[in-house]
Amino acid sequence: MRRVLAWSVAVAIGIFAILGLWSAATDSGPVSAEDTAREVSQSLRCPTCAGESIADSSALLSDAMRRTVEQQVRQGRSAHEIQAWFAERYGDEVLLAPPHTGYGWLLWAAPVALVGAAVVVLLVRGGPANRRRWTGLLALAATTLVGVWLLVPRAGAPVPQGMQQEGAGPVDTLPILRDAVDHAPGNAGLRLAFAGALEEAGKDAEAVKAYAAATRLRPLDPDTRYRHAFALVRSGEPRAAREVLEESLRVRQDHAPSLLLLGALVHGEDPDRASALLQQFVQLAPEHPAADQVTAFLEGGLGQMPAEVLP
Amino acid sequence: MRRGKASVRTMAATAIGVLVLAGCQHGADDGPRVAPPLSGLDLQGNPQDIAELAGEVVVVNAWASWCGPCRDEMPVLEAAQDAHGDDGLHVLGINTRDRTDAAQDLVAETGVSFPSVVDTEGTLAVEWGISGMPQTFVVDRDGTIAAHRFGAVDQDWIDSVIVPLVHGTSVSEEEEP
Amino acid sequence: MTVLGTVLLILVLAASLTGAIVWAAAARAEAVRVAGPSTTGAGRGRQLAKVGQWMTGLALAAAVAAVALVEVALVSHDTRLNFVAMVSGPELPVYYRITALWSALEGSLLLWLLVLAVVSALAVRDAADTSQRSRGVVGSVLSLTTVAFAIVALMASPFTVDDGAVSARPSPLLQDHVAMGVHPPLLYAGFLGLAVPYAVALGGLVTRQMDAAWAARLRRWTLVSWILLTAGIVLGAWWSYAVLGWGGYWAWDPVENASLLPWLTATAVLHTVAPRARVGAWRLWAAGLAGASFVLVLLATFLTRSGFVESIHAFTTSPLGPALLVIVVAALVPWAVLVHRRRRELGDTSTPSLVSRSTALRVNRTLLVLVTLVVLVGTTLPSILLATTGERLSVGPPWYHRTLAPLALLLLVMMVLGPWLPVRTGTWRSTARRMRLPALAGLTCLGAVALIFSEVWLAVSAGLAAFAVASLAMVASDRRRRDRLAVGAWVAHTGIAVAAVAVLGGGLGTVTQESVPVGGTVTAGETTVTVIGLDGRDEGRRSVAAAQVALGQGQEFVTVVEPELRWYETERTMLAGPQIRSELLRDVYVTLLDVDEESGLVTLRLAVNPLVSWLWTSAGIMILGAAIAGWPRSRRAAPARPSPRSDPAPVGQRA
Repeated sequence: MRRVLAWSVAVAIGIFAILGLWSAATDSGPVSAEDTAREVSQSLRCPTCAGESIADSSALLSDAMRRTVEQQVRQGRSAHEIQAWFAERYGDEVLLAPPHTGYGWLLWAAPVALVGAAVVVLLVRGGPANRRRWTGLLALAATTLVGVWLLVPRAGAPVPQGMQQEGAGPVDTLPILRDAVDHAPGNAGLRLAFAGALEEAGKDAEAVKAYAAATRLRPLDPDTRYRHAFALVRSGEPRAAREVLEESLRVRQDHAPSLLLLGALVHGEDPDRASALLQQFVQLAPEHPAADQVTAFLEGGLGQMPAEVLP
Repeated sequence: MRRGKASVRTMAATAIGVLVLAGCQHGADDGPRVAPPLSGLDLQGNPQDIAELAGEVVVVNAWASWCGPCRDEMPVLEAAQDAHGDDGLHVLGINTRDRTDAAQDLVAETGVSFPSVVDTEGTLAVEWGISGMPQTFVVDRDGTIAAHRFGAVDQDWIDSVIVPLVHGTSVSEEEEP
Repeated sequence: MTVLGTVLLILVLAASLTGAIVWAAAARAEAVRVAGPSTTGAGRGRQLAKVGQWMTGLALAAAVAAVALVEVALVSHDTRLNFVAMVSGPELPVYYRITALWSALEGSLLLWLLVLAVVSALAVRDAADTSQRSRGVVGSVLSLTTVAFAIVALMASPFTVDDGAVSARPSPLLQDHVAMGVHPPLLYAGFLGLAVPYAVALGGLVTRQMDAAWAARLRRWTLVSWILLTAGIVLGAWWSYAVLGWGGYWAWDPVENASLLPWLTATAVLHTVAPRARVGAWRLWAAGLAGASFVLVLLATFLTRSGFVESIHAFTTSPLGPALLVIVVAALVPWAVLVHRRRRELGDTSTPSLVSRSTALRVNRTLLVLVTLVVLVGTTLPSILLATTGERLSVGPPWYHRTLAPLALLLLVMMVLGPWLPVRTGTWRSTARRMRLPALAGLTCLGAVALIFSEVWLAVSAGLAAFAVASLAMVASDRRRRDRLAVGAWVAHTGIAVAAVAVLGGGLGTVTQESVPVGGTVTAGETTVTVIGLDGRDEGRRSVAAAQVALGQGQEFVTVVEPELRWYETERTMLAGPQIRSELLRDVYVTLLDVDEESGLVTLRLAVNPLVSWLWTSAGIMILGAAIAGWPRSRRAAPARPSPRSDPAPVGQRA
């Protein structure tokens, strides 16, 4: 009874293993264009490096070659066609697996010849008594070898179905950043990135809070303060924004964006101060995209502020 | 046993010999290459296409503003275009992996007049099989690459390679560096 | 100082040359004594051996002094030595000043000479308990090797390197990571440790004393070298992974391959001279493989230092190529001639049962030799073709994967089945019954992994690993079968199987490279990195740009990492400083590739590499296994060593 049980368990496990292997061997899921392109890139040598593939190299040429491979994969060309295309332009040495023609053939034949020679030696040295058994064993080994040879994936042989476009849609990083801020509350850069993501998601009120926190962490950084003020304006709190900017300019009087924003904010109440601020801005940043408009505005007397200047 | 060993050796030697012989029969080189397409916007934003120059001799020169020798050969190419332009010689640059403003500065500085297709990503250069700069190709009137020069070109090269092509005698050998 | 250094090197040369002659004379004196009993011969032999030992010691002392001289100059940045000006700078931390010795060709050859002198001194001491003849041959061979490398060290000496070379500073890569201080010395120790098995093998072939003590000596030295070599190779792979920023650890580069070749043959030696592996024509195999290992080491130095192969790791082209090639040939010829001449008396005409350890070991040796030869073909044939026909061909990872995968699979299978096979004769049935538990464990694991990951070869390797682990558990828990040798072997084999799983699993990773603005996100599978800030600082020797990125998994935040870009102004070299977050099942690898100030774009490479930490662990397991199997027995338990006077074991007889 126990024997039967043991045997049935063993047979069950055997069947399980065979089923598993069979399903793995037959299940070739969808191959993405990126994967195929990467596989082809791994089979091409960077012509300006020492034996690196273009997939691994950071040389400019490798980058251009990678882009070309991606383009061609998207056009539906096979790995072999792409490799041949590159070999035509850069010579056979661009192929990390040498071609099966010419001297490259020697490189493929040599290992096969070595294995063949080893098999013959083992057969003869195995002795006449065991020769038949050896032959059986070697036949088994040979089958395995050929099987592995055939099953080892060739560089991107299948042409992918349903190719993805690069960067398939924006990623929602808000939860990650929110989490990150909780983990590292003292990281001002993180707060800024989080606030930026909130702004992008249209959550202005929350963004203001995040900017406020960043400003507390970097009280002397005019860029942070400027972005804080900017967010305040967007969420309809110009008064608070003015306070933030006034403080900024006390720390650094030559921060052009702050001058512009503050000038725009105060011109309704205090036109003289506004014109002083804006003049200072034009002097500091004559190349700024808004500089011309501001100049025109100043020259035309302080009438209506062009809308583009305000956030 | 002795015979067995001898036969092993013979077999192995024969096998390797056959492999070597079989392999080395291949390996013929293919002939001159047809010039790849080359089109796009130039530094001024005008469309350029080598196909429109079919039937003429086109010197294709890959350059970038950050490449020193490229700077040096610009006047040579410009002079060639000036001298033989009426006989059907055109120079077409590929401005590879460059910042447009820097490239425009170099063009202004050297005063060249031939157009250069902008190749920000470098894929046009790959299409032509360029591995470094400067590199220059000569496309003959049949649209095949008649010569390939690694490194900067000089007047001697223009005289010995391009002039005969423009005036009818063909040079079909690829030049090595 | 240059004069003193050169004199020291000449002293190494002279002492080793004298040593080689004296050791040879000692061996001869003993040979005469064996031929006809005469007490004077024995006395003279012993005296000569004493002189030889002195000479070996003197060579070592001179080599130590020469290295110390350069090190002092390096640490104190004494630029009277051109070499110091060439490889080091006042801004370099002390640690990298010390390691600067082996960052350029001249110094690395000096270190090589030192390690060789140390190994020689240890080996002649270790051989004190063997016959005077064997010891003489070992001492003579090692001294001659030292002579050869003393000449090479003189040809490219850090004491005489001229001003012309000063501009060629070593890549800052070699002065950027702690591992560079350890990897080369470990590798050199492993390489040169193999000089001893070579000498011992030649000694055995010459004196025909190839007994158990000879095998034990071969095994001891090969094992220690194997451990050092394994550690050195893996450390190099780890360095390449942690520093270069491309996310890989093995590129099948000719120089990497060159270090793998002796490792493969040394592995085969261990499977030939271990106590339970001495079957069939083991003496011939042991002598052949041990000799081949060191010849391959010499070949590796030739490949690395001659400019013959194109490699990132190669030193710049040097005029040493011919000299190193001469050394390779000089080591190859006596070994090949001796093995060839002894092949009949050491050969084996027995026909062991098919289902036996003997057959398994024979197949295993054949497979290891085949792998070695295939790697050798891939490493050298392209260069040979270029030199002879002008044909330029590349051989890279795709070629090695295609050609080696079948052999590797067979090796792995043999590795887990072999230890279960009966030493001499057996049947399929009894063998199968003994290993039924590990087999079932392996099949279960195979099926499960295949179903979950749909990867045939990952499943197969996982099955083999489970088989090895189950075997280890069985052997370790069974008091009758438990001994250090068996347990050590299974530990080491488990390490190899785990390495196979790690390598195959690593192939399932994902990589993305993208340029994004600050605040942007790069995604690889479920893993994301979001750029939260940029940072720059000047560290004197280099200026560093760093990107702060938040690492996320799905919707979860994981941590903040800071990959760097390091610009070395003097060398005009940009190096990546990738950040790696190692987890149990995967590494997240973030490289900063570019920061474009104009556009504000940050180029990042994000790779998720599965099971990388398993690979480093597997190396530890392998080394542990080798150490367990090779740990010296306590003196009391050790069987009495055959006295040096005992008759040479009759060769050709089966063990």
